Amino acid sequence: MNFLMQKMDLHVAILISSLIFAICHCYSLSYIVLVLPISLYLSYAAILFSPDHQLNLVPAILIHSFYDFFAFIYILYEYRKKQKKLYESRGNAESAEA
Amino acid sequence: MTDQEEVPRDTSTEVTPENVESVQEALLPEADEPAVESPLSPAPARPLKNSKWSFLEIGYLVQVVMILVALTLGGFLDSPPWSLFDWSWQSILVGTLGTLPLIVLIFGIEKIPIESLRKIEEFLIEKVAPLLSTASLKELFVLGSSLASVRNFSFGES
Repeated sequence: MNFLMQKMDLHVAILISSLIFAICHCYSLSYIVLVLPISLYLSYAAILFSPDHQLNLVPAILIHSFYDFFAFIYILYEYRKKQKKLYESRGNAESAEA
Repeated sequence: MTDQEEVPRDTSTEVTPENVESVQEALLPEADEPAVESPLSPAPARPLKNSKWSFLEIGYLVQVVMILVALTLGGFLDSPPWSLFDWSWQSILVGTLGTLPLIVLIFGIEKIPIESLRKIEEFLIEKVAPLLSTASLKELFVLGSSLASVRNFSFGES
């Protein structure tokens, strides 16, 4: 983004950089569409909250770090919940058979 | 058939000192056959530590490559990537509070009835979560923040 910002308009640079960032998350088209606004949000956080509107990566890195951490916790919680349900249903089926 | 009649014995399945090894081989599961879990196991089977580390190792390799790309671009532009970090208290505050809308988004996505979003969620829960299931909270935080740092570092520079 730093390179693009030197070559073109700020908003175009943010859009191109965000598109590349989203395409790097190419699990599926819908995932790219989902990542794009998050990427734009991170890019604007890196620009808008710095004192002189220069690129400051600290807010973007902190937001992304906390987001990844909570996302990991969320998917692990859902995974364990699903596993627990599976074992409970198997246990119930076995006790019904007995 | 009366009780007195002799039933011919099938000697082909008998275990004798001569065929004991071949019988044992036939009864043992194949080496690549997955172990059968008890349905009443108190906790789900954890993935092998090896699979977790191979996943992390690939992740670290990708990140090292991205750092090298960022440093190379920084060299070409005469602006080292570390010049893009301003560790002021405003930046830290914005970075911390700015996470809140994304956390709302994580929980909000679950409520949106779009099939492709369900598929993404399924993929994350069924494929990614087992790889992380042995990690501690500290490891999760280190993994998340290193992923975030390297990605933003690389994209910020480029």
